[in-house]
Amino acid sequence: MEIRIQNLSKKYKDIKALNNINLTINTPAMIGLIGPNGAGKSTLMKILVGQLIPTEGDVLIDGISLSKREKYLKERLGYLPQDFGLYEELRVEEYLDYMASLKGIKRNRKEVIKRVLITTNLEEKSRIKIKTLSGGQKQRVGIAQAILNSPELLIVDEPTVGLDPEERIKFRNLFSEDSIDKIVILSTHIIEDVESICNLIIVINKGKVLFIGEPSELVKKAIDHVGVIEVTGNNKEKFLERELKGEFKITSTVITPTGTRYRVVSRNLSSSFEKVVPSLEDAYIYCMLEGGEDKYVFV
Amino acid sequence: MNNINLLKYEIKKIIMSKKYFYMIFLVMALTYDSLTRLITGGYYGTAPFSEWSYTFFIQLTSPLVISVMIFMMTNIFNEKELRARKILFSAPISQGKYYLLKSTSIIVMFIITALIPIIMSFIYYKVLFNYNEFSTFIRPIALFFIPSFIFFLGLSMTLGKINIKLLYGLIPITFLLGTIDTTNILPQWLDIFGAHFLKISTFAELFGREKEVMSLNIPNSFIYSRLTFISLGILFLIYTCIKTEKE
Repeated sequence: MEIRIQNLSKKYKDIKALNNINLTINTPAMIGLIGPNGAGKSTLMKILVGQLIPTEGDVLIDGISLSKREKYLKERLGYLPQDFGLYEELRVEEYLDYMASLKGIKRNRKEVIKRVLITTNLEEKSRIKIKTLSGGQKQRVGIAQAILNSPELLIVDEPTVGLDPEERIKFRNLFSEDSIDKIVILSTHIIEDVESICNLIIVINKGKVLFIGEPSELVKKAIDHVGVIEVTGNNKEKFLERELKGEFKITSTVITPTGTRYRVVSRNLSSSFEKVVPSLEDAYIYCMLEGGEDKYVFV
Repeated sequence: MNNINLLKYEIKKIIMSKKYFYMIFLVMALTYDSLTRLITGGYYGTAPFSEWSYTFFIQLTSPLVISVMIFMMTNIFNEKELRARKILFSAPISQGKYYLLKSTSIIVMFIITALIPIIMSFIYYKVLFNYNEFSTFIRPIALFFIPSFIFFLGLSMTLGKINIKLLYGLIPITFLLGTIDTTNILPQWLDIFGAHFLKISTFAELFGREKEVMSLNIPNSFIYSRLTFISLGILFLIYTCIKTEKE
């Protein structure tokens, strides 16, 4: 499958949620879509699943406009939105059976549901009404319905919200394994999720794509821009004022016996900082710092 | 797409809800009260099992049954369903098919709900009067129950799609239209439940009559008005199904 996004823009009244986005994605791909709240991630995903109409531009699915290929796309799509509802009065297996019917799964429906229940660790909860499940368990039901039809395109918006660390790792691996023969687009705030499984990262902010590339490329961009410094009690206030002025961004704070150790990201790192190897999180913050000035620095 | 399976779950969702259970209880209570208090003596001197009495009985119960239907239809447009649609509409189902599925489940729910007063009345007639010529009741049911049901089904779907608040507003309006005397308030063409017609017929045919048994004459104009309501309901329904909405 090929998804080509051409000059895509979406306007809500006077607010531009997406601003002239151009992207091409081919199978296989495991894509991490990252950006702050209100960056336009969910808008982009809603357009990709055909639930929103772009103001300008187009999305081509295998060369044909999405508006003409909605059914084709939806037959191959698995989607987990960020804020979704389930039919809570139904049992887990009933809801999945309902969704399987909706997705047109006719053959071996029961086996397919059973397989998905095992994958999402919901086998024991299959006969329980959804309304009695915890938030994390409901999230798992959401993931289960998304993978029911073994989709060619899996789009998941904040899928690991509400899951415990063990489950998060499990689902991360599940998405990663799935991406062998499909496109998986994972939107998240959790950089760790992206770091461990995505081979392509898209950083988006204020409706613009700031970076597209491999995680290692993003990290490379931040070399020489990440440093640590230990600040003693007396100088702390002065140091924090420098952050307010926009000289750098603090990414971590550790209290030590002699003071406070700060890790910072800066566009122009002064010599007072000890340079360190950037993490993906540092690189993301650096990308935000650069992109905040409306520059397409990395694209 | 396995439509029967989907319909099965849609009906289950309605019927197994607490909301519906309370509504059924209400319908049963009203039916029992209507039968034992108002129908048992017969309508204006006619037999309790006459077509006149049964038409009156249908008029007493249908506003509540239809109000229940509209109330249950709020489930199609409430916040919970809107959130569920985020997932549902990522599946290969068109909005038209989705609304058709919901409408079909409402039709089944209405039939089940409407069968409660009908079956209760049949049992009542059989037990109390040993009367079992129920085929005479088909005409009142067909003319006084079904047209108003189809009209309100279509209207509710259209209003609900515009704004759920309109649907909540329609519930008391529907109930009042069928229960209060609107003869002097509303024009005759708005006689959705046929109460206006029954009142005029009662004055014209039952008051001062010489014959003991009077059949209920239904003029063509009344039948045409019922066909109009059915057509309007279907048009509303088609409009809801074909008009897709996307931001």
